[in-house]
Amino acid sequence: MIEIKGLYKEYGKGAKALTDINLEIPQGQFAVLLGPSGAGKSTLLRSINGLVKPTAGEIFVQGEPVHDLRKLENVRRKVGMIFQQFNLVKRLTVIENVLCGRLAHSNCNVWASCLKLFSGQDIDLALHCLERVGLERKAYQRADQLSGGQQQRVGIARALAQCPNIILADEPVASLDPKSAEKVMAALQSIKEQDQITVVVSLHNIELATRYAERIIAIKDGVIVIDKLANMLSTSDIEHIYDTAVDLVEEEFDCNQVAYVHA
Amino acid sequence: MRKLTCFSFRLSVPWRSGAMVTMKRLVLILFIVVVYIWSAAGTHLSISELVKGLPQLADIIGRMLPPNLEILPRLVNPTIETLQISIWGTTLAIFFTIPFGLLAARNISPHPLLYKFGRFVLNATRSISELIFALVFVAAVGLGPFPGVLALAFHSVGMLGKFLADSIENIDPGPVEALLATGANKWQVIAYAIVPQVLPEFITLCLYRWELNFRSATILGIVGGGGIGFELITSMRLFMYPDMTTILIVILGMVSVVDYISSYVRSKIL
Repeated sequence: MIEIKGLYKEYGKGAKALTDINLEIPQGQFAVLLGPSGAGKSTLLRSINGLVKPTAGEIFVQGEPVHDLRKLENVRRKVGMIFQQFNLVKRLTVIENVLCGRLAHSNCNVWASCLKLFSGQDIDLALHCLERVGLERKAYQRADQLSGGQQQRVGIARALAQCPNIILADEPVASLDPKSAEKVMAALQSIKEQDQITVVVSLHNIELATRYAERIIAIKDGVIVIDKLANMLSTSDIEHIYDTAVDLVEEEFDCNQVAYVHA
Repeated sequence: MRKLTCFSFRLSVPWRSGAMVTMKRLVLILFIVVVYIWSAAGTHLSISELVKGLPQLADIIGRMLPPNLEILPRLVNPTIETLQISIWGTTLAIFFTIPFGLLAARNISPHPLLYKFGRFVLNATRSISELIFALVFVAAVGLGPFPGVLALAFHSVGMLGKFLADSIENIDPGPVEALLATGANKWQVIAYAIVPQVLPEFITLCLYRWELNFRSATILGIVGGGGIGFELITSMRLFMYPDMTTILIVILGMVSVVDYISSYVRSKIL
């Protein structure tokens, strides 16, 4: 459960990234933030786990306030995050990257963990998370030896290792080829189904969004323009979103979209 | 590509400011020439003096040859001592470098004042030569190899720490963000997101510093800091030129050996 009340974010003087965002995302929902780059999707996602400090407004994750800095690590512990550039530690092995998701949990000793010592329980959990994304065989390879799609699935396994209530995914497929993108989206969907995890994904691909989302929140220039359940979207809504995304298609005509044109 | 640029050739600057640029260049060149002449006067730079000195130089070289190889057994212990000084000097330096390097990296320093303090310590130790440190430590702990170790350690911290801080500032911030997002604390972020990124570069740097420290260790004996430098200064003071030649050959050989070991280890790591 995520509650966002009157959220504003300005970068520097007057550069408005988000304006009066009010959102409530119930537990277990698969929500997609849709919009062109620079619309504020990333800023919104990063405010939810406190990576971005809002200028005004309040955010509660599972009832805990994100703005309370002393409790921030508690909030983050149960919120997994997946990044466009994967953000794995390239020189560490795959399983060490997944174990990063255990670092903030109480059964993990801070000083032992700095020496890369983990409990057998944590290692079993990490291996299980890798199995869920289909990468258990790669556990002891270095992360930078994997393909982009595989690296992103390691990113998902790292988030899973946190046993999260919520997974935030910031453009998780923007750097991937269509086939890998499909695998990553499907992995997120099955995790949501099996674990009742709230998943919030930012995307700029409308086709992917309508196929996976239960709820679509379209953002333009830092303002929510549409917020509807995916099955309630009318054709005019879709047209509206497409209008929003027109600049985007021009700007970011990447391989994903080329593939969908062919499909 | 919305606008196509037309290709045309023209001066990169309008001619009036072009004349300004030429003037500025002339002034700069004049300034550099003046600095050189001024420094030459200050240092009594003189080709004729050098030419007049050539016969003496030839005389000294003549007296240095052939090297006196009989002293070789006497040089074994000082050579080993020099190596030992360089090993501990470098190791202690690495030990002190880590906290100061962390303080002096802008992106992880706990406070801007501590950042300034870290940078100041690194600049200060770097700007004081190991010979001066050696003089100070000889006065403090007495003659011998130990003040030499301390001198190398203190001087090396400056360079190692600066490079460590710079490479921490240049890491990919993505993994740091990812680790923070999991709720990991500062030490865990350092251990998982920063150390793996800077470690290979830092090890290379430490090996390089060890090479430099071995070279420095060969002259520490001149101020009483132990090692082969003491033998060198003794034979110079007693005008035992053939002995000196042998010592110089030993130093040259050992420096090559240390360089070889260091580059071999480096190639194995990277």
